[in-house]
Amino acid sequence: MVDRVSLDLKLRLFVPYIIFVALLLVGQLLAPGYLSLGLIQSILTIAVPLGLMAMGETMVLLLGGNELDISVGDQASCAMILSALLLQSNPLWLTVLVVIAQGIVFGALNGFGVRYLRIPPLIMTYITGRILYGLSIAITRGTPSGLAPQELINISSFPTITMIWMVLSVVIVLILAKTVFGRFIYATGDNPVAAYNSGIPIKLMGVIVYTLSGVLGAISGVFLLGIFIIPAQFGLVSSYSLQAVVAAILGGVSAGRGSYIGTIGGVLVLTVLNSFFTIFNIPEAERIMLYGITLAIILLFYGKREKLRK
Amino acid sequence: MKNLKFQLIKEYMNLKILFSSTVFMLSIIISNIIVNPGTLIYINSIMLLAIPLSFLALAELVVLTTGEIDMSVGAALTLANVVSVYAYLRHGVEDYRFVLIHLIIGFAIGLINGILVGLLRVNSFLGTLATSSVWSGLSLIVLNKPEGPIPQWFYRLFIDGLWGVPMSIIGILILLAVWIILRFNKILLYFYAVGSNPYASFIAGINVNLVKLFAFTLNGLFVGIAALFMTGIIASGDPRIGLPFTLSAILAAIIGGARFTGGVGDGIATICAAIGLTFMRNLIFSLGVPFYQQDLVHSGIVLALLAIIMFLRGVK
Repeated sequence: MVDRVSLDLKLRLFVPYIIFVALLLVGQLLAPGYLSLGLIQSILTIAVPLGLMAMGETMVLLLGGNELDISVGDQASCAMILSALLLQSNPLWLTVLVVIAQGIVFGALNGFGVRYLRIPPLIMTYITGRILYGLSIAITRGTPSGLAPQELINISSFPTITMIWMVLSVVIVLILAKTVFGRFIYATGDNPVAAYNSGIPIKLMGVIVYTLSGVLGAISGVFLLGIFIIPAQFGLVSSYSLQAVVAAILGGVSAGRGSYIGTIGGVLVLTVLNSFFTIFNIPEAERIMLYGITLAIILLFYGKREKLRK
Repeated sequence: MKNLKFQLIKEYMNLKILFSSTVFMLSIIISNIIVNPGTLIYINSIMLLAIPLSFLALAELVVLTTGEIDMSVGAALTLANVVSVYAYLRHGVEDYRFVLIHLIIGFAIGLINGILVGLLRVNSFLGTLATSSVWSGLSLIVLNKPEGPIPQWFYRLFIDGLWGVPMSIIGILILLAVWIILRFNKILLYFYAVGSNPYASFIAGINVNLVKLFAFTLNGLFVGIAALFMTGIIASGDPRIGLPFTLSAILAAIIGGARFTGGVGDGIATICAAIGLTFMRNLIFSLGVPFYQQDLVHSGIVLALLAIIMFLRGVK
């Protein structure tokens, strides 16, 4: 089943890239000078945290129809606040370890709740997100403080951060396509009952995938700190969760179908859309509305239910 | 009536859901009263706060039974609230029209969501996420900051009550009436059928897309009523009031027995869950948890209770 990738599916991988290029050209038409090397560089920098979150999200979405993780943004938000605090007196590697531990604990909590307690993923990951939010408020007593050290800022600027993303992308694409673990994910998403009957440890797989998603979300929080330099207010970063889901679905990911290559396209599309709003100086209210309208228009051509009349 | 055994199992499941949800609500309210007996004095106003969430949860339940989801209820409530207050402040829309405008906005929103999800067959999670964004943006365009006041009589209604009966009791009566009317109506049966097996329903001659459209329209109407109560409670228009309610409403519907796969769920249990969730906030406050740790403790307790409920129900 997994090997037989239809032509349709392969074409679908390129759709987000086509939208991406089209958006860039539209931007150039509307504002000459828009399309420049600097813009590409900044897009490839800003896209990385979202790209990492969408990486975990891709794996989660591949697992099955109702699976999704809307706590990645809160993971990033909490990791950002936590690392800003820790970096004041600790080296970078220790901070990253602590942040990864945070990702593992709350990612595994998600996986456990979804798989063993059978709480619907949307609700489970929402509550985990609320717990992370509560945690970051309890830690900082309401006002995030701290500053990114020069070391982290260097890592989070153009060539390095993009390179890290590319390496991780290659790794994840290979894991999904070539390893047993990847096959298990696709098999579970394609037909959970058949996967269970052929001996795939479905529950354990779920816990591992949610944990990975949590870790990737937490790491992207450290990168976000490097990009923004000071920790953002609560709630600002958590909106990334839904963007990660949208990016993955734009990239053609659904239960047992799709790949991270498509998701990258989706991430680029969302990043360009955001840059549009910044460059054309659209106020927040109109920005939120236009984002929704754009999403709705894209959805009209995408992600529809199958017709019942065959 | 042919498949009596199946019927009995189904009834038993519903009783189980109703029972666990009622216990959830009562345990929270009772522990609230034990921790802080003073709660009894303002139990009326907490109950009033629970009414909008209950209506939103019921709206969510209706859609969830058909196997879809609505991520826009919170933003829709905001839009109805904001537009009504704007109409009163700038255009002097008063009297019964002030009430009507909430319902009309809710109805229109439900219709748009329904057309998108039902007729155009857009994925409901993403589609309503997109419309949620649109409603939020529109609300901010209509009123960019909280503004008031609302009509005097409407405001007094929520303080003095209608003919001496407090609005919280009237709200609960409306909720119960709405659910009972639905329960003994054929349309709910259609919702359950479409939710548990869309293909079989299609073969049996049910117009699945139309049923989904109808579910969303009903959902919009409930959101309109929720907005009506919200406007009365906050006595102003606030463009950021509703957003956090979306997932609380879904949570209440899940405790009320709904599932994302559709076909199950009970209204009374959902209302109980929504009331329980509202009292939970108060319980955390009464327990004397330090301010900055309240969110953490609150979500931790919600998770623990949800885990217990799910475990006891033994959902397969």
